[in-house]
Amino acid sequence: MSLVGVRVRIRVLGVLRSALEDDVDSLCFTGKPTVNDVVLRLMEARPALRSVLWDGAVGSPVPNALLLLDGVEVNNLEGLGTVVGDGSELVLLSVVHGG
Amino acid sequence: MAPTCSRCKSAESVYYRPYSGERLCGRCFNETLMDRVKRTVNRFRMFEHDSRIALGLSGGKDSLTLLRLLHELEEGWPSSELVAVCVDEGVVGYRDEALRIAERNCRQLGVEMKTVSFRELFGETMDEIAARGRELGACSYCGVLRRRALNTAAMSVGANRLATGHNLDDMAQTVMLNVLRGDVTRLEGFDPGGRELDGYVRRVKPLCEVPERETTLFAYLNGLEFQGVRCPYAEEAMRSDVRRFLNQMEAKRPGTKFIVYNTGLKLASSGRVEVSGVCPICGSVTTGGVCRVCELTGRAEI
Repeated sequence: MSLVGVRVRIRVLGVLRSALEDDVDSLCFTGKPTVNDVVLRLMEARPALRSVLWDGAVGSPVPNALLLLDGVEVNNLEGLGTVVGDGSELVLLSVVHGG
Repeated sequence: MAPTCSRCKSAESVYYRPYSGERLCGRCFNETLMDRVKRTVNRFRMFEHDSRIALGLSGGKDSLTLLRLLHELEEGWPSSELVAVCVDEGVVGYRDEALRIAERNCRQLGVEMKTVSFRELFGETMDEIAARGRELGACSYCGVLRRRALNTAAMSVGANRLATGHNLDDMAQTVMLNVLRGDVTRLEGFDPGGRELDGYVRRVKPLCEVPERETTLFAYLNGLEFQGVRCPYAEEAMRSDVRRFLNQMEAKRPGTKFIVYNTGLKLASSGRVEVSGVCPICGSVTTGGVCRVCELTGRAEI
């Protein structure tokens, strides 16, 4: 018997890149992870992301961060509640002034 | 699967535009952005058919987006010219990367590029200014000196327009900051179409009605390079607070930034700028007395 996992590839662009060792990372999940699950797990693994990506006051990614799941901005899907499939790619882009 | 594009009705959409309710595919998103910039340029009469346009290119996503859009737009005006002007403030690591990105993009598009530096214009780099004792935040110095440097660069290439990458977020933040500081008279210069002033190249802001999220998305969809290094002096406390507030309001009430921006335009149209003198130190046109550049660089004390 084997566990069925969901592997999500994560790509960060812009100033978020400095928070990762590389601009690409990947995480494994069981069950049906959502975009929110992926973001939370990523910030656990890479705490430096929190200051640029997370708005503690509202408990969600900063409102003008762009999150794209397989090339589609997540607000065009089900937002942070969008279920992420195996082999998907999540792109994180922090909208930084002037950057 | 994402819904179908509400504009072309055929391709899969990639972006939901909350303030209009549109769902757009990549191609329609690009087209609507270009259409909006064209409308803005016409509305504020930013250019003549034969303008020589200096584009303030920082290497960031906004100015790179502006470069792409103006380059395409300008091809339809055979008598006009586009030149990129860059400012090297002297911020080690940050600006070096940005200038390399700027240079690559200009080369790709065949656009002439001219760079000036704080060192050559003001005798100090931004790192040196930031390191010495100062009363104001680094952004206050950098903003004033950058504006002067861009004007100098634009004049040196014979431009009669200076286009900058200020987006809707920048404009709305400026309105809010001036209201919060109780100084709405400063909004007299808010007009994105700029003004003709002696000694200054007319400054125009073609992206003034494009939200920052959308300049970022444009850069992403069109494969533009993003800076990986953040400016070490980026945190200007009050602007950051205003930015956060406006972003939260926009998320809850889409269209807020447009409302604030339009309020700024109304306030601006009710005022008039008094240009009353010449700086006794450097000779620049001022609103009276010593100019801000000479105040901040300490020349006023020499």
